[in-house]
Amino acid sequence: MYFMIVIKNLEKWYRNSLALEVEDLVIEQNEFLGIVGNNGAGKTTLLRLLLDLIKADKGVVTSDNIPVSSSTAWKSYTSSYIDEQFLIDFLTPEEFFHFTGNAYGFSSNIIDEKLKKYEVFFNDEILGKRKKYIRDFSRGNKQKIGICSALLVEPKVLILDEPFNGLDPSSQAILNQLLIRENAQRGTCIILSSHDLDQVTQVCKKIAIIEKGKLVRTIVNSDQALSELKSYFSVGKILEDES
Amino acid sequence: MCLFLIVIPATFLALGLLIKPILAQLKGDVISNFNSALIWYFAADLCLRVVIQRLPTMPVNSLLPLPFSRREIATSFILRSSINLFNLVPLLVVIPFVTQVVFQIHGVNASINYLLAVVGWILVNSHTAVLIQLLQKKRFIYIVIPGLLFLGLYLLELFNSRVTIMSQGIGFEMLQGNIFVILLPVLLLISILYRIYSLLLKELYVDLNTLHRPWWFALKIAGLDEFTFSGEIKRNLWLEVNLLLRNKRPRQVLSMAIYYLIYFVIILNDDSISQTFALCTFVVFISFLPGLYGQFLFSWESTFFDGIFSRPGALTSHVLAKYYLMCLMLIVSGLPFFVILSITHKIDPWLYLSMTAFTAGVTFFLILFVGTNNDGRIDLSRGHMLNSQGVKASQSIVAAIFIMLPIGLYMFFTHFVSALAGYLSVGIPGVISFALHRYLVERVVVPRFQRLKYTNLTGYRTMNI
Repeated sequence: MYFMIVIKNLEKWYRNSLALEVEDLVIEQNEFLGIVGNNGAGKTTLLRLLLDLIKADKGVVTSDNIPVSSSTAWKSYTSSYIDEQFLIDFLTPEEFFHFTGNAYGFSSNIIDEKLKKYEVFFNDEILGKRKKYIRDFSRGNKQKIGICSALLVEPKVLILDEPFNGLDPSSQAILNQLLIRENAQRGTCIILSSHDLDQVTQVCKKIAIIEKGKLVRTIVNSDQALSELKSYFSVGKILEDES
Repeated sequence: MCLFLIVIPATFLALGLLIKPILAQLKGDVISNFNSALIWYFAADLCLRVVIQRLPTMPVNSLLPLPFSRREIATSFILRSSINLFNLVPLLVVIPFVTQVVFQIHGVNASINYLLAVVGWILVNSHTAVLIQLLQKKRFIYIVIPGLLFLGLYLLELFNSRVTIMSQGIGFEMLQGNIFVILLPVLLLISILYRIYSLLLKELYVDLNTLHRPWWFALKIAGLDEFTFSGEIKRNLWLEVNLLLRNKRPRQVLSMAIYYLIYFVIILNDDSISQTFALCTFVVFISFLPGLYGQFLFSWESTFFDGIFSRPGALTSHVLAKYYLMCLMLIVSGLPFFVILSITHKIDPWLYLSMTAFTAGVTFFLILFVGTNNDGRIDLSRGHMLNSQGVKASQSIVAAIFIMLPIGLYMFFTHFVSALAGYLSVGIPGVISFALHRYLVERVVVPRFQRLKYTNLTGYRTMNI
């Protein structure tokens, strides 16, 4: 068993409040990990720390044995989409895909070829819109562009924050399939965060629960996982109380 | 903004009330003096308007989903664009002038004729600016038309073609009620309004204020490095050029720079300015465009820097692309004006070369180095005028130092040693730094950026309006 991502004694503070504290978390090479938690639980903070976008106050994150904060070598096999801050919104989607793909060493022809795989996901709304910049697309389509730019560079590690947000039901279902296929066929280590317990249990192999900045529990996905998660987040109880 | 709305009209009103004694101090009669400025005023006014005057696109966007026809919205757009500060302020000078001077000398008919003609030309200017602003959304190059017009008039005047005398003549005909001089602005106005109207009917959609790329420019620039730059630098350079040309704020910065450059050329051609002032103006002039761009490094990318930073690609290439772009700007903005100033013998070619070397080598390196401290977020879609987002007081201080440094060196060596030593004192450090630019970026700028990366990235994510 090879651990792709290893997190040790990680702490992040914002002023005097603890935003995240993860003592020990290891993510295997072919893992598909879902991170769930309520608003402000620290999911995005964890993903940003994995990408070295914020400074950890304590601890270390390594990717394939490379400490992410002191080297950039891990970037060549890691791709991600956290939010619109990852999109260069004055480019057209094609330009953005080529720009991103070129950064990972793919030629424009190969990128064009790879984009064909996502035609169904794009639903004729992204490509071929002459001179339409990313900033002019709807939120859902921007989300698709960001996710696709991360997927098409064939990373070893893929990090996505709330990838299902803003997507219509069909696109959510297609994205499910794309992610499952990416993990199964290419062995990509996928780490995603989500509020959507149904989606997470449909795609992830393992699920980590974060609450108030702390990693509370990690569970292996099974038939009982959804009910376990719902009971943890008291979804059933709240509904019962309301009725 | 409120200050702007009060200060500008108040200044013009004060000028209007004092126009008679001011003009009386000059040679010639008061009316001729006033008339001699007419062409120059309207040409300069047009230059300013295309950069500063705001298109009323916000009200249009809010009207589009409502049950109004496109014709009604286009008419509303034209009416709204007629009401702006630029149309009001010249009247604050012209009305006092007409009442204090024209009315007393030429009577009521001449006063009305004169006022009508001036109002006509103000409206022509106002709508010409609107038309150019609409057209430049398609092709950025339209923005330089008023600048070229002004430059053309200036060169005509320079070569004794008597533009000022022509201006006096037009003013005189306006007083006389020459039907052609009064009808000309009316005809022009009708044709301009018709063009605006048809353009709006054709293009009136919610994305009216969406920018459409001058793609040819980006491609050309990107193509330049086929021979010299590596793929990464080429990619970053392409991104940088698109950033400048496709977003509102950097486009306004570029437009401003074009007009300032023309203004500097005019100042430098003025024989009455002192040598020291000319030198200061000259140094500001050659580094103005890259300096304007450079003062916001690396904040330009603040809205998408998380994406840039989490992808592979050496930071060195990213910084080098900016360096080469500044060098390109230095050449593109400086060379045409250098030619003009050389023809008019207002410039010392050796001074130009040595100062250019200093700017490319030393100043640009310092700009990149200091730029690593810029952690402010810049919203590219907001205008540059009266927008202090991403601006720090330290940037102004640093800019002043960058200007004073070569001037100080040059003046010290020229004064205490010789003119040649003056050139060499700025030229040699410039050439050495330029030769070492890659080393300096790799060993100084990039490591510093890496040290400050978390602070800067956090700053870029923070909305600060």
